[in-house]
Amino acid sequence: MKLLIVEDETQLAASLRAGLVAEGFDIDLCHDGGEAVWQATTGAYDAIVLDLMLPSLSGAQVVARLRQRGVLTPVLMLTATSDDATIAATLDAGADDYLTKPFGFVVLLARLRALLRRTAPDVVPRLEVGSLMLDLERMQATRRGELLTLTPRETRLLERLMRTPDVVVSKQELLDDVWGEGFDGPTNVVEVYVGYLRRKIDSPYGVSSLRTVRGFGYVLHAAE
Amino acid sequence: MSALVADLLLLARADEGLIAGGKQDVDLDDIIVSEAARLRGSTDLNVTTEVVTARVRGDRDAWERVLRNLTDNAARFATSRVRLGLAREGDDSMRITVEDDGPGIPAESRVAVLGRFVRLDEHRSRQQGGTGLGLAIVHDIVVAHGGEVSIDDSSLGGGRITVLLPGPVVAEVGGA
Repeated sequence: MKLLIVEDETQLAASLRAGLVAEGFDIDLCHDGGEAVWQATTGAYDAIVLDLMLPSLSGAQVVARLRQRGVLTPVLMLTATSDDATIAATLDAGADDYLTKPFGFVVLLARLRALLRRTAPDVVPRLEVGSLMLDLERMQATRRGELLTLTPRETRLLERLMRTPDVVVSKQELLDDVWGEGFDGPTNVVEVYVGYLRRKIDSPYGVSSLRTVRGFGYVLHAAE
Repeated sequence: MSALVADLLLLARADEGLIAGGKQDVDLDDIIVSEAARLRGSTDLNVTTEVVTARVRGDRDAWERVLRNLTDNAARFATSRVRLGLAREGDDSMRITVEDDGPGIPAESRVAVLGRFVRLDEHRSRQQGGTGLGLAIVHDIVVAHGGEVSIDDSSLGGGRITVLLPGPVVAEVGGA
């Protein structure tokens, strides 16, 4: 997790950095509002801790500019006042949460965790069937957490079957979906690749999740 | 120019025996069928395939390169037809064939075209003729995998390039 801390009080900035690094965060520091806009726009941060009172641009102006530029990184604003109007204006400018100085480090951490939880849901698209998992971004499959080394076509066949667990899929459907309509390759290609796949996803684990339904097609069972 | 440099780097890898070091499953049928589809999309040629399923252990990128170079070469010379084949040869070898209906390759030049920087027609420019390394790369990658490359005439009227690859082919298991 990478954070940008924008704070012009150098002592506070340094102690925030030390504390957050100790918690395992990657930290970039910056002391000026204008610089903060540039850095937040060009760097990939999971969240920004932003002081409201800054040289050149205020924290509220910084967050407003970021939102205008389409930068949606969650922002935790640090304010020196608990004045209602200021806090409302800060949130309206685009901040996601605020914390009034002085604050305890434990509270800052908890607010950050809450922010990251809300704004960064599990974005890796994946399919799960029983103990099989397919990471759709990397197209990498695992069984019981172990990486399976599949060829590209095996991976696409597995993906197709994992999209409809416990449903019988006909050979023709698999051919059309995995190899494409108008395929003019070997006629037994589906049987052969199902066989390849079984030897990688089932046999080594003593399970038989990928079954043949004679006369109908194939089914991938969630239960092992 | 960058294509030429990339080709030379690939040859250097083959020279050092790095290519056959890759030990992945490689689906030759999949690569050939994909190349056929690519040619149909990028040319007006009539492209046909006669392919069985066959898997080897090796370097997938290298095999994709072999088929890409062979099909590009065939497409460059073909008048209207290209035929791609993959068949079993005996128990555990396999044969890849790439044929076209172009002018063919004269018998006396068949060894030479597998060497580096050889273009039979002196007048072909680099734009038309590729880097002159295409078939040399095919040759080196195939040899690195323990196979051999030969050239003869196709029944289509042009040239036929054959890659003979010793097994063992990864045994296929039916879907039953």
